[in-house]
Amino acid sequence: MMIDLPLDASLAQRYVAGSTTAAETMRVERAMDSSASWRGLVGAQVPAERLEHNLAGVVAELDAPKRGFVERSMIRVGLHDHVARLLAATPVMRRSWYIASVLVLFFGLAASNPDNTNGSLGIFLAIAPLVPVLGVAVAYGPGIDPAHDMTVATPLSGFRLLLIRAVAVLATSVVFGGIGGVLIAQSHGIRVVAWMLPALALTTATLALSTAVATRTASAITAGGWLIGVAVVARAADDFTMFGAPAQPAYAAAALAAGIVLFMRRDAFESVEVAS
Amino acid sequence: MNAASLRVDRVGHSYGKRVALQDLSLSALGGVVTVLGPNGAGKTTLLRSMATVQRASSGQIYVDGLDVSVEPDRTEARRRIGYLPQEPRFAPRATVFDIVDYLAICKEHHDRRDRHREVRRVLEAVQLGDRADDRVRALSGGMVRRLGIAQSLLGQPRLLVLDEPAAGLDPDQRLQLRDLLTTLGATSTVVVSTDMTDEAAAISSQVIVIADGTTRFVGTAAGLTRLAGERVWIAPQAPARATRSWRQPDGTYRCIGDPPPGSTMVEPTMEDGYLLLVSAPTEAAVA
Repeated sequence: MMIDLPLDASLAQRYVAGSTTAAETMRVERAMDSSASWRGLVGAQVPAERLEHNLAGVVAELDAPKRGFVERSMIRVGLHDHVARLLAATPVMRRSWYIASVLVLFFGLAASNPDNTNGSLGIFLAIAPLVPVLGVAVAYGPGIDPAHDMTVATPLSGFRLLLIRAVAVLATSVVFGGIGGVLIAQSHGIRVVAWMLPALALTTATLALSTAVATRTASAITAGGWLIGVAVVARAADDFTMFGAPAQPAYAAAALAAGIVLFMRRDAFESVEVAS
Repeated sequence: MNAASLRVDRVGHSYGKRVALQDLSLSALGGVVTVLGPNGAGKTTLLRSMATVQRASSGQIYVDGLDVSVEPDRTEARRRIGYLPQEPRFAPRATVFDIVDYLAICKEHHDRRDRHREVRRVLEAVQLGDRADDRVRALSGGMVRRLGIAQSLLGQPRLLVLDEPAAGLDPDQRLQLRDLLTTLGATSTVVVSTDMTDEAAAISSQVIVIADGTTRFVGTAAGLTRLAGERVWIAPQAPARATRSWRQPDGTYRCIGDPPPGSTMVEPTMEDGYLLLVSAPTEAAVA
């Protein structure tokens, strides 16, 4: 096939440098499509380093493991590739998200029964904050993450990894809890979001407690304490007392206090104590 | 030479009332340092402490002069360390590539392209390149260990801490591992724990024997062998007095300890020296 003239080395050089006009670019690319000599001419203008870099990029893409749905979604909403990978690389955690979603939706649907009462809303509000606590329990730590020892020995701070995962668990819980809330919002109005601050407080308290005991133990203590507290208050007053407007600032304060304790004791996540 | 200096200074560690390490000191710069000792001697505790996975109850550990017990030194030290735990475990449903890719991110390889190139490099180094897409649950025990070794090589660490890297490998793979470790030892400091004396003899530039949490020997493989000089003999029957003895295929007994007069003495091996050291409590030896 004939090449449109004039096509020469200087044009190829300018093409490689990215300084050709749109029309010239099209002509060069059309020429390269149809002519091996033109591909050779243009290729010869590209520094070997750049060619190697480009080839490495192609190979990297070919070798790259296929991203799962969760990872793709996280990248789509703007997360860095490596952060999404950190989050998605723990299968146990993903399973916990599914468990969390199923639990919240189940109780949401239960409470949205046409014969619902304050009691059924109370169950939803009492259980929903436990979902992120459950998620945190299976998101980080020896015995949870099989490669935990190897992860601890890397420069990535254990505290940072824990926070990344805890935030992801909380965000997922809010989404699924929100779906559950929407299902019953017609009957109960804005009160269906009253579980969010307790969830934040309980999750932060679990993280703070896990600087002293295993994460699973910490989760069991906060979840157990919460359920006992809710039951005692519900008996003494009514089902909604724990979730009313006067109680909400107390949860915010508790979350803040637990957050401060967590930050001050963050070094606890930088080593593992195991007898061997 | 890219090797990191390692200094362990009077390190001790206890699990409740059980003392695992007691006032243990050593130093290394380059080469392959083998930590030998019987089960429960404290090898894994020592290596976990070196790798910053576990905090020693007492004493200090320095990597290139960085105190691994405090920040920001610890994070900086971790940039120089590659670690293989005694029992490497991975999410069974993840692929070989995913696992190493994930740990590469933890080791601050954030650029996707460079990271994948590094992942391929370390997988090739342990002959797992063609298994990159396999799930961990499809790997044999030896392959899982090689995967563990691969992740420890990410970023060409200046200090490699490998807890029993040869366990579960077949003879051919052990030979390849020896080759890899001695190659790495030329440019890095490689600390390897093992209870296989033949492995230690084959690769070590320095041997450390620990038992009951204390150092029994620091020196070379030849020095450890020399400890058993004139203390190994062959007897036709089970000896009444020997520190250790065992029956050989020809029916005679190989004995180590203080030989009776007129014994048939034989050349000692490193294993003889090691057995002499760990069979009876002695003062620490340096050879």
